[in-house]
Amino acid sequence: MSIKRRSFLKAAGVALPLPWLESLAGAAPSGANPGRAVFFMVPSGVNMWRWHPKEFGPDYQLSSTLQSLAPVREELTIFSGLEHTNGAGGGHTEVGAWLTGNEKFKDIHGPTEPNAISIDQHIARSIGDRTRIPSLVLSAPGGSVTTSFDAAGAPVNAENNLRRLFGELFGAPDVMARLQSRASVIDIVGDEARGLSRQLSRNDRNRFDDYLQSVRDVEGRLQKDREYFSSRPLSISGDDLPLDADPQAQRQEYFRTMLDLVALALRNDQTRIVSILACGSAHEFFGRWPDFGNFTGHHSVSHDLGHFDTEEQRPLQYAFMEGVDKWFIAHLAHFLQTLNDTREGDATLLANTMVLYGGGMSWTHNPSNLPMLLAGGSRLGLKHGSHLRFNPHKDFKGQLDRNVKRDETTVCDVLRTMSERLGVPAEGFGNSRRVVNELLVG
Amino acid sequence: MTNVLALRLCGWLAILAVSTRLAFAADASPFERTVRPLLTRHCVECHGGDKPEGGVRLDQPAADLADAKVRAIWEKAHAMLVRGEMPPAEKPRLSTEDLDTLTSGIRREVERAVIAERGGAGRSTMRRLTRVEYARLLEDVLDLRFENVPLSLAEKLPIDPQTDLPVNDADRLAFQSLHWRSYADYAERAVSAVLASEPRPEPWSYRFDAPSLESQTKKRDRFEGFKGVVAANEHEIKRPAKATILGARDGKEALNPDGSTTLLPSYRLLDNLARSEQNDGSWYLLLPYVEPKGVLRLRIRAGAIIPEGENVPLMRVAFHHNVRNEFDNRTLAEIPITNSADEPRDYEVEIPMELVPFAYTLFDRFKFMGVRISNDTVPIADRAKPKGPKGKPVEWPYQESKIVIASVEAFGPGAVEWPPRRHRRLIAAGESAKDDRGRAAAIFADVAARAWRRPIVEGELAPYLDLYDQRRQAGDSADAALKLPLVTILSSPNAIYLVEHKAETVAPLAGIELANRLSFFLWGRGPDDELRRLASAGRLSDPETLTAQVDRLLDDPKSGVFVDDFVGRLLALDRVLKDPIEFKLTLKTLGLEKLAAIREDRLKHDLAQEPARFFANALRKNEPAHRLIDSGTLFINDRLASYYGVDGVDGPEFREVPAPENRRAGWLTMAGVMASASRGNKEATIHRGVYLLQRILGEHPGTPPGSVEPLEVQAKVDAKRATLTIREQLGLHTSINTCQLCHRKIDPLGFVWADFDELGQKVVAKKGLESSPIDCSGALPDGRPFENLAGFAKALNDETTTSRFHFGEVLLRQLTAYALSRHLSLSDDDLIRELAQRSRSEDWRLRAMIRAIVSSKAFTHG
Repeated sequence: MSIKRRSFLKAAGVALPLPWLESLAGAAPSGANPGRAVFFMVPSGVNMWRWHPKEFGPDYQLSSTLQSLAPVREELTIFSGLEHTNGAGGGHTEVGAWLTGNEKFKDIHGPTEPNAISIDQHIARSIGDRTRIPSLVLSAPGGSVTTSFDAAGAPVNAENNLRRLFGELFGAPDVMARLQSRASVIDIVGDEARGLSRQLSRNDRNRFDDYLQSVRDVEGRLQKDREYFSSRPLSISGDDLPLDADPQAQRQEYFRTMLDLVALALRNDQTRIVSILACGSAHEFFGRWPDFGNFTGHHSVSHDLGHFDTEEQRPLQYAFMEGVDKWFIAHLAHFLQTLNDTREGDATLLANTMVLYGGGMSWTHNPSNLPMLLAGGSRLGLKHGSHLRFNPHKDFKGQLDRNVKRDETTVCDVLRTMSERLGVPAEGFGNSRRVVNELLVG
Repeated sequence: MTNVLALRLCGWLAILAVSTRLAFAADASPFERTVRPLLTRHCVECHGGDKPEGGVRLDQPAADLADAKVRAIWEKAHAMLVRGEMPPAEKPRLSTEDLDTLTSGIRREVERAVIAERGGAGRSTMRRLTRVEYARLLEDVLDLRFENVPLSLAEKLPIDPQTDLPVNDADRLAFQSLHWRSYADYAERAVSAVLASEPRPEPWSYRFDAPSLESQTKKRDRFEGFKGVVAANEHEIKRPAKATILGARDGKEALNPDGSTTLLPSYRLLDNLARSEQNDGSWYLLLPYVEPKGVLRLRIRAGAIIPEGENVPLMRVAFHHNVRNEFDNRTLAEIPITNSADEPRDYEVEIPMELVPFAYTLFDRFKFMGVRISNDTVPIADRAKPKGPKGKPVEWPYQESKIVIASVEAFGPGAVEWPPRRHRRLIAAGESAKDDRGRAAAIFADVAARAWRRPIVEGELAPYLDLYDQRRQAGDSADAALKLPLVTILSSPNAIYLVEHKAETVAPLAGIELANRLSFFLWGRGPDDELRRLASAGRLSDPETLTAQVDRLLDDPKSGVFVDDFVGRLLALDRVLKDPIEFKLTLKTLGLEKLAAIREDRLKHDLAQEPARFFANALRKNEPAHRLIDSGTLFINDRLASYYGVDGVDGPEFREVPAPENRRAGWLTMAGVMASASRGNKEATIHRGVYLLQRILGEHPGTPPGSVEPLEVQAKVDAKRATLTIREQLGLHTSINTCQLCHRKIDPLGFVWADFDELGQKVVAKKGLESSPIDCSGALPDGRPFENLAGFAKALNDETTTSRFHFGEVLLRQLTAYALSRHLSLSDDDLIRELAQRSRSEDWRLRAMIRAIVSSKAFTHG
């Protein structure tokens, strides 16, 4: 590897600059460039005075909050008036509803009851086996704090440890050791099975063949994994990356590294489906953000902003919210920029990757007019560059926008549209009634 | 439509024509005599000659059904005939009798070919363990049973492809791609959970009781309780634990003079039943976080206060992460507290952390592990709502079962003993070895003999020792290096399969193979020492020894595995738990959905248990088979007694009591059985008919045509139908011959439960109709009529007619299929005749039937 990574990284702070990414990436996947989807949720609401652009249609101006997305403006669509059917996800249940649209999931105390399957897992069930890792489920708190739910409605155990994530992606020593030990188990079992097979009667042998085949299949998969890890152009050592960054205390390094690792995983086609959750709803996971004001937590500030208070009434709170909004948008912008700068065939990685970003509440705890945007995927048939508006909703002035027809486009319609762009039918997913044609080319 | 279907059939048969020479046995076989003329009359016109329709010729002599592909085509042709898709509509239709002859003729040929493939009539294919059996194997070998904490480990493994009948059908228990990986992963997890190869974790332990905590009164004066920090018992350990004990809303009840605390049932305190982040009415302990490895132990000193007429309280122990919106919660133990609070006793709770699925990341970041103990009692009977004047709140008028907790002790995975008990037991065989290698060899030999359920052959374990050596060279400790070879032993085909070495012709099984068959039949697990001793001494070939062993195995509590699995699958009792059946047990007093859900769950569990407990009782007493459907007693517990309206049954244990008037047909009057048969449908005559035909009469009900709508849909479309009674609607079946083929058997059976609803309760006649009793009459498929349930049971037990629907014989067939791990075929008729004869001579007693099966050649030979 020609770049002196360690010094480079020091010079560049914690950001992983693009040349590094390019050199780490293996050979680009051959054949047609696969479609991917990333779902990135930041709960607890936003400063609604400054999040949505004021104009609609293709000629809109980016709002001040979204300013850092300017370089990729043409690769994204901003939504106004998007919401879940029947107000699913109101109050503190936004996380469980965001990718499921399950209005019945009302348990504010966490996943004690089954939810419905989330769209990322729905997609992964169909096409997850095409990549080494069916889907990545990440969240800063980890464990059961996630937007991803399996077919039984149980939360998928979310990864929050960057070191483990790195190991899964690039074959850290412990992962390699695990493969090695599994290989020695298979050697013995395979020999034993072949020996046994010879002693069986003809019919039993036929039946037993499927055991042998299963062992061979596992062996083959194992071999592929080992080849995959050992063919990495360099043995990346975790020492060079802030893999032990604490999601709370070192949130800047943490999110930057996590998003860079996700970009790499997508680039190398290790996985095609990713869900990322910043924190639980009503969850003061990050504690103070002294840069943005003297408040104890993001969510409690969001609570304080009741009844469409104006910025004049609550200047400090709104400034704080705006600060946090911009902070996450900056991470998103960097992530999108990374994808956009990565060539893939005659297009970019971003053109093959749909990134849904946003949250599940808007004005205080209101689940309507959700702050959401969809970026990337132009090669998957998505059309961008516009600010779309749907259902009647309280606009940036806190007033009901009566110019929009109530055509009831829901978040699930967007989720379904994304799923179907990847070739996975999702008709009726979470009560979806339509494909969002406004997003499609032609 | 017909044309499309015809084309499809032509497609299949085209393959047939190209690839095969039809080769049905050419002599005057039953096929040639009965089926051939029908083929000639109805099929050959199109499918014959030089240019047959779709390239299919049916006028040639015989097809080679030993070829699985050809067989599949004939099976599809069979299905098309049954569904009425062939012959096409413009051609003459087959009469019901001819259709029956033709389809059963094809089925017989297909079956004959399957048997030939299996190596001869009456032989079985070697099978693998079901996932439940495999999980049990690991539990046995690694001692994975934990005090009061049930683990449903088998659910981690892929679901087995099986029918819902009680047959672990060897031909279906296949391995799919990557299937093996789940078995190996699973074995690895289990071995890691037991083998303590890492340094001893900090050996902390804590003792919690109310007096040592600070008394707390919350601001709003709603809850009273105790809270505080508790130092470890070990002075050198500085990490403290924390505890919160919260009483009821009127907290006064919480603390007793002796320092113990009383917990009210949590439904009294919270509408979310102690599954929420709130803690009132519970003990909430925060133990220092340790890596989730090894066994966390709790010792809870508790007793119960059970007022007259109330049920035994249930103590719930759960992992409980109570950080706002990172909340997670998992029930670990539900323990009935039977002893009086005056004589408290210790309840041990062993929590194997890596085998309990929990999001430990949450504990890790919090640096504490939360455990919650609460009283999860739910009243059995509904209660009238307490009413005060003008809606004012009144004093709660009912007494509930309370749990009194004196103290709780907690022990970390490193406390009490190191290395842990299970670890020491696993490696015990290596104790007397001279060196590490000899020790490893002894341990492997011991574990392999138990996991493979047979003696180990000299030199067989050499590769395992090599692997051990490799691990040692790689730097593993003497204990850590054991892990991988042990995982390998447990994922070896010798562990996963019931290995049988068969000769080309039928011959007696080796002793150990027979011992395995026998113990898997009756215990669902490998043979114990006694069986293995007898096997290696060659004594199982002695019929008396063998039948003595049958009795010994049946007397052992481990035979509960056989009882639960056989009865549960025969009567499809998992439907009671899984089908969306609502028993509507809402407590009107409290109006809590979740409380109703818990009550409902517990009742369903009991309903699903009852037929098996009843069977176990009959088996223990060696009663005749017909006792199962004609009995003067019930075998029930308090919840079922309440559901059936029987008085004087206290406590959750099942016991025998006299049956009330309307519950005297054993299995056939059990609510769980009727609920399973009705599948949650109010109008369930056909469902019930199918259920009875298949499970009580032992006959396959046939495949329904794909295009038929359910009755209620038909009634919606066709207004005229809606006006018909259910009997009249079903009568339409018999006017369509493809329907009639099966429904002439199904429909007349379904009426036998006409006076019971889908929840197994007696139907209450509507006002004014009390005098006209509900018509429960019907007929068996052989034409014998019955008036009602009693008549139905009587007809099934009628010894005077030799019918294949005699209940003893039906049960015998089901038991035989279960024992042999395969479906029975026509070629087993001789076997069944012989077994039936033996059973009849012993009055169809259950044990006699099982003894007869085990001593038959079909069981002892391979």
